[in-house]
Amino acid sequence: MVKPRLTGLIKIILLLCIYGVVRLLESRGLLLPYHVQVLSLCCINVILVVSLNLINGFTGQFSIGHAGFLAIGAYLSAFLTVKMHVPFLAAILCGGLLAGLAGLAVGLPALRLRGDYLAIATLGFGEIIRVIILNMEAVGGAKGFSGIPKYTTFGIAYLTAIITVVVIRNFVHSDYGRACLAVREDEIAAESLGVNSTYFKVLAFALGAFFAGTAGALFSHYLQYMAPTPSQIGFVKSIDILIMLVLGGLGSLTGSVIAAVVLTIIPELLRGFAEYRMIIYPILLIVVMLYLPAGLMAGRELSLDSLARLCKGVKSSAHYS
Amino acid sequence: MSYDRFKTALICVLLICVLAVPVSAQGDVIKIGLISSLTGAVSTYGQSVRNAVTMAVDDINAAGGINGRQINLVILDDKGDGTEAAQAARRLIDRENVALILGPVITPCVMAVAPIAQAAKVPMLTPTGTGDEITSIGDYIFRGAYKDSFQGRIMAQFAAVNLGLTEAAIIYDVANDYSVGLRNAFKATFEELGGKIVAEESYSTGDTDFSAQLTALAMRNPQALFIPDYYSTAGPILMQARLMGMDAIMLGVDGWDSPDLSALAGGFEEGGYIVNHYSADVDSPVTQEFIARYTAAYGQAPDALAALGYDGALIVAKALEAAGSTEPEALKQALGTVKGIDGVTGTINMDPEGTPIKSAVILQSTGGKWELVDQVDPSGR
Repeated sequence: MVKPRLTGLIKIILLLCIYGVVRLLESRGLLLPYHVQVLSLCCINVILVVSLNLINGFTGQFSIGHAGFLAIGAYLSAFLTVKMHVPFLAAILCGGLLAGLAGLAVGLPALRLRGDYLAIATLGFGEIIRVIILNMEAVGGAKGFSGIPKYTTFGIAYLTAIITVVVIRNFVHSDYGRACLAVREDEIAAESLGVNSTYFKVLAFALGAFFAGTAGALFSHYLQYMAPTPSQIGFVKSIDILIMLVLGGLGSLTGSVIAAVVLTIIPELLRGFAEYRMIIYPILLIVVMLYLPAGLMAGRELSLDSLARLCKGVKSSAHYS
Repeated sequence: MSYDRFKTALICVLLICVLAVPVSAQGDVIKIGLISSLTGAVSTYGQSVRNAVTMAVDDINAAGGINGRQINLVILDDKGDGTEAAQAARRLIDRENVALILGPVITPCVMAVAPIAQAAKVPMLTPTGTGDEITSIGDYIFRGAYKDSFQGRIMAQFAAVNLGLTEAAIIYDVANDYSVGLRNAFKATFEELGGKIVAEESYSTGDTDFSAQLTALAMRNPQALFIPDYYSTAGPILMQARLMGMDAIMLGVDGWDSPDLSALAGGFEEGGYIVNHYSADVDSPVTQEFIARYTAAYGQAPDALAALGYDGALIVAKALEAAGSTEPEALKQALGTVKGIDGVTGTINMDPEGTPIKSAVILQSTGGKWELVDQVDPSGR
């Protein structure tokens, strides 16, 4: 067992190192703007997957309307920066807050449903958001919202991703998170022990929605153009996020992070394959799901502790041999 | 399969991925990037463009290249998705150092790529994007097709002047930028010319039953019905309208141009008119040679997208030749000023605004084939 304060320090240094290395390589010209762009997208996807993990993985509610929250954050923040000249950070926060409010508004009635029914309700919610945006002339309607300034840098995306992971990790390890886990494991048992299941479900839903909204704000200022198409803010996007989540393993934050990064990079590596790209990518997914049906991390976490144990294990086995 | 063999297989797959990343060719070549939708919902569009552009580039290289330099074409897929298109554009600009980007094919992708190309000052030309706002993004953004508003205007002029119609109805997709833009342009011009839009109904992308809207339209008994949408939606609308007993003249747009339209419309597109980029009937040697060679090479007749893709490559080649270098500023100037290109879709004169000045054609469905009815000069703009 490594001391908590020490691990905290090691983690901060590690995270700073990653950032430093990226910036150093970038300044040396070893990482092109293209690579940094891909890394920014990785960070945005990490936020999306981790926030969905809170809802689907830790609280056990099957939501497939995550792109709806992304859309709210993306469009509101873009509207604020383009039309109202609000500073970017304030716009991110506003986007997140409105998405969180929407999560609250949808969660209260919808979370009375379970399983398939909840999935359909959230899917419907996502489509409603998309259709509303489609008919809003102020944000471009069917034409799409163009002319969004490029404010999302790797630094901001990276920092937001870290904040998201830390907040959700601490939430999950708090009393609130334990209550959410109890709801996931057995709602009736949790209720009988005095856990207000609706309250915790809605809380997790709203928190997840908030972070999806911030991811949306980063996304629209990253892409500089939002189109109300299913692949950008509709169910196709929701499914993309869900795939990353399931591949990483429900209920594992490190799994979510790894899957989001890997599944963002693989399509880039495969881009030269033209038509075969969308055959190879699904095959990789199928292979992983066949051999690791519970996802890459299968509900486990990769932590400094487990790494330390692993190292010790290797050392001791080496000692014995 | 044991775990070890699985691991070996996985490593092999990853190795293939790494090795297959295109290695940049050395020597005195001009590198051009093509972003096209080879997979996804509009993959037939993207494949047509890819086929035609590849053919054009091979021709140019076989004829000695541009000012003695060969063209090296780097093709990337965007899945018809804006996010992917943006990544592809960054990759072409940063990693492949292309002199110019051809593509993407559909407007949402173009809109995502254009700000990147503009900021990096890499000229781009979409051979097929018709959305009005594309070229207003910046002075490095060009296209090879006409604008939606031009197309809508041409159809309205044809209906009001050539057909002498005074009353028309419109049914359009409120969720599709393409459809909305066409409807606006058609309506404005038709009313300007003294016509009247007697009824208008809308639907949303993905709808398949239009009986409610068509019943409302049929009650007004319009002389013509304008259906500005892709073949996949226009087909069912045509069929349902005719089966309901509507006898209006059907007016359409370039989106109708697909071999699948007839099957979807149950043959009821017969007698309808469309505006299109080119006609296979045009008696120009360039067009006829292109059709013959494309058909021989790919086993199917070229559609309008293939024709536009070929012309896009011709415009780019001509601009590269005129610029004499791959310097972005010179290339941008050349793209905005090259004139008199003998393309498959007619004679093309580029304009600094970004949209070429070229003719459109009006086709009529006669006996299951699209026959040339009228060729509209660019002065109609």
